[in-house]
Amino acid sequence: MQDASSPEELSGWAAVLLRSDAHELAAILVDASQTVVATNGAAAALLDRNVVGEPLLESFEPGSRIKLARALETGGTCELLLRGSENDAPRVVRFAVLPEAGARRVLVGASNGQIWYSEAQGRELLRRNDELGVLSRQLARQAQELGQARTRLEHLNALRQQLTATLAHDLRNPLSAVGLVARELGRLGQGLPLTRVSALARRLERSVLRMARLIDTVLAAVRLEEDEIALDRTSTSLEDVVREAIDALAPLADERHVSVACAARGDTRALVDATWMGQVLDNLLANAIRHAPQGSAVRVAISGDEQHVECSVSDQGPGVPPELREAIFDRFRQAGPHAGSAGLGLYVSRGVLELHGGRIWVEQPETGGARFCFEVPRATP
Amino acid sequence: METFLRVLLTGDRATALERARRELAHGGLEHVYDDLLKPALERIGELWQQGRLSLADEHVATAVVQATMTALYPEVRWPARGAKAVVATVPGEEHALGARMVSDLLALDGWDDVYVPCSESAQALAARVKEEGAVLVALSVSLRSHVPALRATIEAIHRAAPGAKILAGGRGLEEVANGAELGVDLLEKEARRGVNDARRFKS
Repeated sequence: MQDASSPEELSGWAAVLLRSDAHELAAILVDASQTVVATNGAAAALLDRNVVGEPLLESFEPGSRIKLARALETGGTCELLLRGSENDAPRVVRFAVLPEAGARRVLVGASNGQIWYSEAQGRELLRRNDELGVLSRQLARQAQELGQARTRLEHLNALRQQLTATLAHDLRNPLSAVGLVARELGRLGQGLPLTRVSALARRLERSVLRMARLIDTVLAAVRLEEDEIALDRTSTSLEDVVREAIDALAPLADERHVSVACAARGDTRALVDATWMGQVLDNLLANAIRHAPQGSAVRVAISGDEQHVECSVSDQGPGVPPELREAIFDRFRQAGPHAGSAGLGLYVSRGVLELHGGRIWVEQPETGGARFCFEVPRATP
Repeated sequence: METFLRVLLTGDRATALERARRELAHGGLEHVYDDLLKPALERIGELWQQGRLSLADEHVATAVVQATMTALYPEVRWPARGAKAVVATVPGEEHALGARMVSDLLALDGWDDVYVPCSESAQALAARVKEEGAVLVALSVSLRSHVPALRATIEAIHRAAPGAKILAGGRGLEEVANGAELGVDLLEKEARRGVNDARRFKS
């Protein structure tokens, strides 16, 4: 025993520990001023020197001193880092701090793992920690996935509301046209001249065409938004697709007194889904016809190089201001959520072209108006 | 580094987490693993080998690292799950933390990872790989003495799931010159590089 005062007045077991140099438990007696009064051999070995007469705190790393001071005050156990030389690795020691008479304390301890540690239990604890970690990550990931699914549902819900508003708005005009025709036929049906009946039939046809186009566009927007468009790509003549779209839109062009012409140069075959490309051209042509002044011409030009086939639809309307040339392809960008399907057509067109690996843009020719251009990959011969 | 080592050895979970959070904000989970937790654990392993730390010390530090990782998970933004990857230690391997880090980094890179620590046998692990339909198997080896178990595992996987690509890594493979020697598709000492290289197997 390294001694500065007699441990005789200590409780029996503390006295035994302090006297025994054979025991593997380290025992340190400190007085009320936290100065080391006595140690046993195990403590001297643990601390690497005789610390009797020194302040106890000096034997420990600065980071451990607050913890030790607290344990000295309140008792209990603590895990501390012993102070080592510069190159020495830190050593961890566990102490139980026990009160003795006269505000003295006995620290009983050993380096970590010497006594209390069960390796099997330690490994089991780590294994359970690991399982807990894996579960925690699964939960974190699932919580985020649920959050994303919720955002997506909210987004789809907002889309449905917008599309419902679009349908309600855009169906009103063709429906009232149908209503007017029905009323005229009902009132004057018997006495109407044949030319008037034929004019009313054309008006009905145009209204039906507008409603059918609107429904097609809205359905396409929904499928695009829900990633449900599966392309069936084959080598297709873009010129044929354009001419079919021009034929389908003839009633609309006639109504607006707009002529539509197509000029194709070279091989116009591209690797596309003919049905979806029909919808793109239908959107672009209807857009051009709608914005073209009465009596003017809409021109479609098709050309290409080895990699792509390019198509442009030009009108002599007011054109697209430079600041809107990107945003015009966003959903409902053109005139807000209640403006109808006008903005939806360009959004659908861009989505469909991007699915094809193509792109769409708008430019303003020197002669004025708007020119919507797109390119798609060429069909391999 | 030495400061962080002390934090781990004294079981100071609060300080460890505070430090890890700072590093997460600074450079993401990869940075926390590669530049903070892994070097500290490797240093602890060295000190243990030199007899300067007890097994209990090592376990305390490991538990703090585990708790830190667990606490960080909800703070990480996990991407959508893509191709399936099984991440495992070879049978007999007790150091699973490296594999778990690789598992996390693969998940962060968009893999749908299945973490299988401490498999009972090479055959059981290979059967799991087949059952999961894994595109990738990442095997972690912390000690050189586990290389024979690794070889047996690789053979079992080749037999049970011949299409699966195998990435092997860990400190136990430092003396292996190349992947072909082991019969694996990728051999990477660094988790980060292994994850990057494994991207080409995703499609």
